[in-house]
Amino acid sequence: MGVETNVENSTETLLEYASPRKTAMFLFICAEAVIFGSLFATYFVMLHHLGDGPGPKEFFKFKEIILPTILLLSSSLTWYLAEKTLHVREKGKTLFFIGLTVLLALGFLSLEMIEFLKNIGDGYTLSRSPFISSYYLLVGLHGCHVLFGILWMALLLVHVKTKGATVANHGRFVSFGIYWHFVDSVWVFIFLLLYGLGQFL
Amino acid sequence: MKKIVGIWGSCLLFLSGCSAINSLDVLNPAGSQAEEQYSLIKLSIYIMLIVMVTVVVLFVRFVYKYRARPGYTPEKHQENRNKKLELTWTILPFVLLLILAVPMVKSVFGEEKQDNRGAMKVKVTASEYWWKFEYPGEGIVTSQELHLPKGKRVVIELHSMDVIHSFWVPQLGGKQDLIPGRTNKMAITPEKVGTYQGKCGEFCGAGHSFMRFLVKVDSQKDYEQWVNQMKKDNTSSKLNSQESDGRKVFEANCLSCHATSGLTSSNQGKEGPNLSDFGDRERVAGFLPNTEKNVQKWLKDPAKVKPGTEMPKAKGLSNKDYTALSAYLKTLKK
Amino acid sequence: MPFFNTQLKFASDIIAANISILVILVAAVIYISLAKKWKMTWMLVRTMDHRKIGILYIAWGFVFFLRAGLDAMLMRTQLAFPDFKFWVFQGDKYDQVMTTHGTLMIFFVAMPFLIGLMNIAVPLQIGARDLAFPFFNSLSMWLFVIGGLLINMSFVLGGAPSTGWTSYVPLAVDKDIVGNGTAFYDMGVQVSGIGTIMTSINMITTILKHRAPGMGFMKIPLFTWSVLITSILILFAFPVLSAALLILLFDNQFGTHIFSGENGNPVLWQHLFWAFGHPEVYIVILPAFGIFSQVISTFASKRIFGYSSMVLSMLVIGFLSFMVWIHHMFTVGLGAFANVVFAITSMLIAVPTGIKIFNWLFTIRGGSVRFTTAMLYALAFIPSFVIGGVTGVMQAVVPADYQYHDSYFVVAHLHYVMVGGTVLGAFSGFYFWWPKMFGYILNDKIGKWQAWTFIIGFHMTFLPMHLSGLQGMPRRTFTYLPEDGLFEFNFISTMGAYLMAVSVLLFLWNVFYSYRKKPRHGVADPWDGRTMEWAVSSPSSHLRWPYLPVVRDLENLWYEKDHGDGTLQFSQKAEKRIVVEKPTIIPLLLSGGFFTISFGLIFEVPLITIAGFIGTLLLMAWRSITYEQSIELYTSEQLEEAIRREEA
Repeated sequence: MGVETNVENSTETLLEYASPRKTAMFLFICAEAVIFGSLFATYFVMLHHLGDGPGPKEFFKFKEIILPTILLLSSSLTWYLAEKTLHVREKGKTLFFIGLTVLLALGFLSLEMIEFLKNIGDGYTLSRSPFISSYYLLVGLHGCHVLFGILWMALLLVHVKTKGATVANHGRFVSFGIYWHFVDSVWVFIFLLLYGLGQFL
Repeated sequence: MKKIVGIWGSCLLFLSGCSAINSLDVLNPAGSQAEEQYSLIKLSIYIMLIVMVTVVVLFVRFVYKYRARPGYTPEKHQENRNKKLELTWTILPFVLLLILAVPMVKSVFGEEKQDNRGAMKVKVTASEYWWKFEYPGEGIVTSQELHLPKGKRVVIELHSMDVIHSFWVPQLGGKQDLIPGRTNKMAITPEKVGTYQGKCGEFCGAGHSFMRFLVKVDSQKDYEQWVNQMKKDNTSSKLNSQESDGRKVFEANCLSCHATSGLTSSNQGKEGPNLSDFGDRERVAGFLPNTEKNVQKWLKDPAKVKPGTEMPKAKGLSNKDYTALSAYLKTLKK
Repeated sequence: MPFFNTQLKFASDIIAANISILVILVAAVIYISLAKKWKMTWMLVRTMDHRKIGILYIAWGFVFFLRAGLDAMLMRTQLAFPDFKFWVFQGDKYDQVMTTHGTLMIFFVAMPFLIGLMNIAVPLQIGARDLAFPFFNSLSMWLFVIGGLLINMSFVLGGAPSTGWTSYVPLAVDKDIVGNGTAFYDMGVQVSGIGTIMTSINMITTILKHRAPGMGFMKIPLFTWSVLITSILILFAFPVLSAALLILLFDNQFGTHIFSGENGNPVLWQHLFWAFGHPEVYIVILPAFGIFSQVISTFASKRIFGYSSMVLSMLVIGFLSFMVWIHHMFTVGLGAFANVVFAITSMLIAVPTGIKIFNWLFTIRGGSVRFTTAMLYALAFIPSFVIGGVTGVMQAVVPADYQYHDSYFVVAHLHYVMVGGTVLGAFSGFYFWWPKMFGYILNDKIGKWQAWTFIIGFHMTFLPMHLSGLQGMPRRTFTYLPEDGLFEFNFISTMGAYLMAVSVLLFLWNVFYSYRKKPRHGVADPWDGRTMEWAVSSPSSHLRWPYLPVVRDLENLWYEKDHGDGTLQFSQKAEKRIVVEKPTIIPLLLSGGFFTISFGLIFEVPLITIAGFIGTLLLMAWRSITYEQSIELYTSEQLEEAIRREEA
């Protein structure tokens, strides 16, 4: 029985190890995409179920969402850098970029919380109208994914700090990378289809 | 195995031919829509019978002929593919389906294109667990019993007050759902005079089994007579002392939900069936024969008779009150 | 009695249920103690072995099968006579057992039976050492168990779900619904659904990445092909259900009104549910198709006829299954055009299904049919399923479906496909793979009795239902009136149902009897098998194949029997990094976390939910941190050595 060491960190083992994980993560993302797709569909159906609540034009404040969008999208870039630096085994830099990604994600999340609180302050609570409910469900579920991503990154920090660039850690980075880029791209859709398109509906 | 197949085969033959099975409601249509549905059912049964027979014949033959037994050795060369055969059983089903699909498409769009301008209109509203029938052309309302004239196309507008129900009179036509917040339409054209069972077709809660109604199809003349009767007031009928006691009980306990013509219901939100023709009805609670015993059984504990019903138990009534009440209800006649 | 935010009432049926739960638990504890099986139990709940996980799937599935079967007996008894009052099972109580029956049978019986068989057979068939992710495999299994327990518990905890397995809104969120039934349904199905999605990912990855060298796509055995396609269907269908259940949870527990209320849209639930629900039908039938393909080819001693068209037709069925869901909603009033389009796509499914039926028939042709119990089930399947199939096409005829819809005709149809397809398939698979699972063969004589009673009971139960449907019996009714003319049909159905119950008991007896009587050797290849699972020992061992087998043909073992010495050829390539996961209790604990979350949500106790979430996250973190300690790494030589040590 072998023990995990840096020695067997050849490209071949790396690929062999990461390949099923990549496939699985990709499949997981497919499932996630279907969930988000269903919620998007629900949102679009609910556009006609406003009740006495506001319509999308009134409800979405496009300008206030630009900053969180920039934060979240740039976190995809910093994550990419974290992954790259792990490949060349610059542990310090990897830790730094993970930290930066966490901070950007936290920034996004707190701005989203502020938006939610503001909405509630305006009387747009969860059960105000089916339309608003569907918005909270979709954006809230995305927010939960960001939160989960933050916790996951915290775990990765521990892994990198204690073990460095091992085979297992490479696998972990591959998995999380796919997840994180997906979470960001869902936001692009939310940004475009809810906040963007909402201005014209 | 053969036996089972045989049973099924004979059942299907039964379905298509035998008169005993022809008494099944769906296979015994009394309206033109049901007639058309029945003809499609027949067509599909015939086509499917072809499929069944083919499969069963091959099945029995192969299983028997190629059973392992002493002295039998299968051929050395085993056939594992055969383009011609495979093409056959790919193309033939298409042909069979086409034979089935063309009349289906025709029927669906044909019904869609029907001219509804001259049709009679009925508005059906379903609630847990009863039916309200409004006749906007006549300005009358009934519950639990739908009266229709023979030979006239009737467009039925479907509404629901609470959950999803489905309007189904097997002998007159298939189902259409009643969905809250949505108005569906369907048409039926009764062709035979008679009384037909109607049911709720979509599971709607504890009382679903008893959410029934009757459709009474009369000749045009009888129907018009019935309409005129319905338009008349029935409060003028003389009540004896027991009946007027009953009326008092009714006014104190029932009137908040149930209207009888001449007396208006004060509670619109909790509306129950209109009782103006209760004495004429065949059924109490939608499914029990309208006898005094059943009426009292129903009034004394509605939830026991019809699970989940919205009708509450009246508080503090004596047996005498119930007798009086049922006597009064009987006088609600046209 | 107050229980969190609800009141528990002790009626006679609840007391009976409580007592039977207690008796079963005590009996289980006593048995395990007397037979000194605590250690084995401890090993079993932590296992990472795909075979043992498969066995657990099937065992738990069987427990739920008995419960759902009991529900069926209660329902059939209540329906035996017109206007009958059996115990308490009228109105709401009937609806509760009816819903539990449907929900359990589909999500917690059909699915685990098939997933269990997948677990046992797929890695062996493709020459893999285990699934790609044994840990997630175990977790999926425990999540399914937890989901099933939630649905089962609901009956004694204030009321089971009572709105049918389809849980149509607004009825499901109606104020009149007793207890927390809808919430139990929602969380039970949600939790097991998460497990099912993980299983599908696991299966797809395994089949794509862990096939033995030489196994190209057209050399994959048909059962594994069916599993691959099924898993893809699960991957795209179950998340729709997850989303729908999430919305339902909010509507039911958090006061939103997406599906209900004045502004909600009840039809949206139907769309989401059936967009999942129709693929689900194929999810539970395709693996059964796969089983029949293996069984028929094995016992007809002949290679499957038209292998490539079999694969292709499964792909087509899988593809079409996503575009037919509106045929469940013809009466909703979506318009003539939508109805016709979906009617035609629905009819089209008959074509690939027909191709499969004829291919099976022509597999028999020219072969030499051995009538074992497994084969008996497979043969019974062909005509039974054709009946279910043709009634399916009949329902695709829109105007005719206005009559069939939601009547007993549909009940008959769906049971002809589910029982005539899935359950017969599961039984066939049990008899077929039993030696691989446990190392002994089920008695053939009892097996045949069981098969015949089941098949006859099955047709007796469901054939008359076509007729009661045409006589106007709506489904999900707890009684009918004497004047309805339904008594004869229902009485025959009830008798048939009892016969099926006898058959299930016979199966249990067979398991017990064969366990005591049968020799345990010479069972590695009892059926003269054709695929690779018959080349390993029975029961299959967890550590195997230090060098992977080489695949030279679709029926690899048969090929070696025909052309070689009857044993597999192995690859020469030594591997450096073979990962074997050590047993761990974390999956069980994690599913406990999910249970806590669900419990809190169902009874609306936020603290329990939050505790559940934190516990679950901590466990996940713990698993991640201890990952390196929880695996063993072998090279091919080391594995060979380990196997030798284990055998000694």
